[in-house]
Amino acid sequence: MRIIIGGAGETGRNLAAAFVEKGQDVIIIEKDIEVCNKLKEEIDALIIPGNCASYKTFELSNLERSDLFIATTDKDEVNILACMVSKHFNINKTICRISNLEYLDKPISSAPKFKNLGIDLAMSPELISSEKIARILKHRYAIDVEYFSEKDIQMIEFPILNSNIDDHSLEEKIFPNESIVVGISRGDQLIIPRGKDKIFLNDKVVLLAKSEIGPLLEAICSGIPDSKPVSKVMIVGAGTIGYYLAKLLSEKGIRTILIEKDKKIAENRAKELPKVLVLFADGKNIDVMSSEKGIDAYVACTGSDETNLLGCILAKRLGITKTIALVHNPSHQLHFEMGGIDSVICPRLEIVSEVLKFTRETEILSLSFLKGKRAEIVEFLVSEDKKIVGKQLKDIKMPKDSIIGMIFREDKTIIPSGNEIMNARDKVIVFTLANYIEDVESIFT
Amino acid sequence: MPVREVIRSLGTITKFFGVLFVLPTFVAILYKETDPALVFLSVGASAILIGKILEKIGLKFEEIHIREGFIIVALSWLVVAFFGSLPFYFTHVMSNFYDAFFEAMSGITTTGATVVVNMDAIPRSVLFWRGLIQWVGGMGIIVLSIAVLPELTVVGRHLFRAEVPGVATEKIVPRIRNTAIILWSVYALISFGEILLLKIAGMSIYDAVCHTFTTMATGGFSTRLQSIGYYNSPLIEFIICIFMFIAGTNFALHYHGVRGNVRVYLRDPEFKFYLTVVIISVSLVFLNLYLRDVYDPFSAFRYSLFQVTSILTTTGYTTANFNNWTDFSKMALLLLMFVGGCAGSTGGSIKNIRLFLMLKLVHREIRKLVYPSAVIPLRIGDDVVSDDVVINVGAFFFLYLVVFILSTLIVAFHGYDLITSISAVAATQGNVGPGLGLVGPTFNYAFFSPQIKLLLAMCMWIGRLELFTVILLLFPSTWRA
Repeated sequence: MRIIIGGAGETGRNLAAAFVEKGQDVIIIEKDIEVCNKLKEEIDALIIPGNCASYKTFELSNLERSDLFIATTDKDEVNILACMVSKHFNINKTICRISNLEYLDKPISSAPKFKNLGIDLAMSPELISSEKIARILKHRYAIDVEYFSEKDIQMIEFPILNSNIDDHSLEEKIFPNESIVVGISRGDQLIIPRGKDKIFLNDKVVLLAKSEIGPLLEAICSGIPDSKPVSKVMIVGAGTIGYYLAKLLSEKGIRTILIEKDKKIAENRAKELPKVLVLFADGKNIDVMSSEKGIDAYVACTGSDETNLLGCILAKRLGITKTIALVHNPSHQLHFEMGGIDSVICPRLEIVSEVLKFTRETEILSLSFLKGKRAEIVEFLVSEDKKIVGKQLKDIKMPKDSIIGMIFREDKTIIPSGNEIMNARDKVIVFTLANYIEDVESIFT
Repeated sequence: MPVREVIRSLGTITKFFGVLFVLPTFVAILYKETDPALVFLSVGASAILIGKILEKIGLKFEEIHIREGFIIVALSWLVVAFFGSLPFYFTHVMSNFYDAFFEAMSGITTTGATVVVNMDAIPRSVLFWRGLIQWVGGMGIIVLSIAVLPELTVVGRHLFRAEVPGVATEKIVPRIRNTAIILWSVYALISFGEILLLKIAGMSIYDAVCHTFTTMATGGFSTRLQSIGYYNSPLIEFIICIFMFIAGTNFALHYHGVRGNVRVYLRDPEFKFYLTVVIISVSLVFLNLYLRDVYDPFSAFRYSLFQVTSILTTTGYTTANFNNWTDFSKMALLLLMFVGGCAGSTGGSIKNIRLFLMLKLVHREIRKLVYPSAVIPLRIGDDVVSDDVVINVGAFFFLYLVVFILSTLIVAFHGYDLITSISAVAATQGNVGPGLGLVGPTFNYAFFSPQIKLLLAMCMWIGRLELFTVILLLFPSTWRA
């Protein structure tokens, strides 16, 4: 597959890297020549300096009949124009990043109005992030939630707060059937666990499970049965993400307070969101924060990473259990982790996951889970002539630091137990550390 | 410095190089040369074994920087030259290791300078090996490894840049591995064409293959002591002349060329410049040889065409003893040793694009004196060249001179005459082969002392990897951290 990416910002670069990793031919068009020169060192792709919305660029570089064009610049109008131009050059599918709510009011859309503009799929990194935050807020203790297979399966990350399971090994069946621990992060370390590995207090565990047992898992990890759902949320920053999140939450009946320090914006949002309490104030001001009691979660969605970090640190200090922050510059993620922020969302990387899901490069992929760690989620089709066919999973000798997380068999998705039997042509999803991919591959294919 | 990671990559290259020993073994068996066959087999096997061991000791790269890329490439060429030299030594073709190493380095860097005194005493499989390493070195052992070995995909990007530095190396297709595959396929395809034509022109298949290897690589090793002059056939000379010219052209152009898009040649500014240099040089040397009564008109044209193309493309075949030519023609040949082929070709030396760029720069600076406030971008064809590239080319020029002058001084210090010292260094650093004076077309490099042979071998190594890749190794900061 030949993929053209317009714009080499965070989104474009990360997308390109992911596609290159999957063995696709990638062409990046970027207007800044300095960035181009740097990219040549970084990515095994063809880098073309130029304007991705110009006929000339496409003509000169023979980009006709590519399979996919993804416009990822930070200018909506450029992206839309670029998609129109690319359609003129017989490019099969186009994906357009659109941030302005007036153009796109859903996270992902393939509506006919976009088709007329040459856009097969329009995606908003902001709205995708809002949706993700709303998803995390469904669980009081979850750090990260991702759905797969038509929302049937979820990947969910919890901190271990339950002292009853402290120092217990996974073999002791802490977690129910139809769920599997695929990663434990402890400090800077990421462990792909075996049955003998133990769980300690304050670890963070990543589980794959049927979606309906989410609450059960939450109870196990937090040690609090029937924990009340999040009912009152404070959102700071009424930009696109804050606004859309407030809208989503208020529609679900969650009491939402939206804080904005620009008066005009605050007034407009108040008009648009009748069910939301809009405050015209500084969201990281301690008086403002402490004036509201009983807040379950604090979400910092301003455009400034520093403000978001400060706000969340203060919120933690004031005893708010759940803090979620946006980070715009991915290299700041570590600062947020050090500050003890529960969930950190980077809109420019969220859209990358969504695009990859759309292109079916892989059934599952969550960059937030992978961030900064050397873990990989890889997919293999089990060959018929392998020894492992017909064996039970517990008898298959997997390399160190790798685990089978899911099996796709015909139309079914299976969260396997040790007794599951491996069939030929099963598609397996393996969680592993980057160093072991080749070893893992040799087992299945 | 991630030493163990570098070791692993070196191991991979060594192992891969070891596999190539299958070919000369096969040739040895074909010609019933038992001893060479055993030598090739055992050297090849030990290269594979040592490669495997290095791979086991080493670690896989998680991330590679351009610096490690340069180190791996520079060291790989040294290692490959070492293993390449072993067959010469163990088959007793060369009596000492210096000679064997010189010959192998001369082969792999496509220089073509030889220490062989008596070509007939050498087993055919060893002569074949001599040609084969030139052919492999021509398009590059690293590029070949990237094309063949998928495990080099990650590291490959930086290795490719270090081995094929050029001025602005452009990939033909997005992925480096596919680019490498395309380059080698085009290279092999054109080589096949040459074998066919040489066979038709009357060469034996063995000679045709060996000469094709060394033409396409712009190497210049011949299976005959008199080089191409042995055949004394204008037709063979003409065929080889054309293929030397082709080999001196950017292979990215040939990629488009073999797909039927011939216009790319005439649209390429470097190719036009290269063609102009060839035409002007041939005409001048021809006129000089004819007007000074060295040859009759036909011979003057025949020899000037062949020798100019051979020296300019850094091949180094000889058909005439140009040591006896006029001083003008000798000087012309000496100067052409500093030109070389196009970027992305198998030719060595400074390369046309750099000369072209420097001429453009001079032109710009002169215009700036006329119009002091003018903004004049430097153009190659329609593309504007950034100042970074221009500065890099300027530094390359200067470094080329520095290496040349220092090496010449050292050679002259050992008591060799001026012409010999200058042309020996120019011919090895530019990967040409034969020089003038004592290293002229009818002589060879055997008489040099071992130190000078090593020095000249280093010159070939530095020249083939376009200076920076090797010079980098001399700086302590490369190895730190």
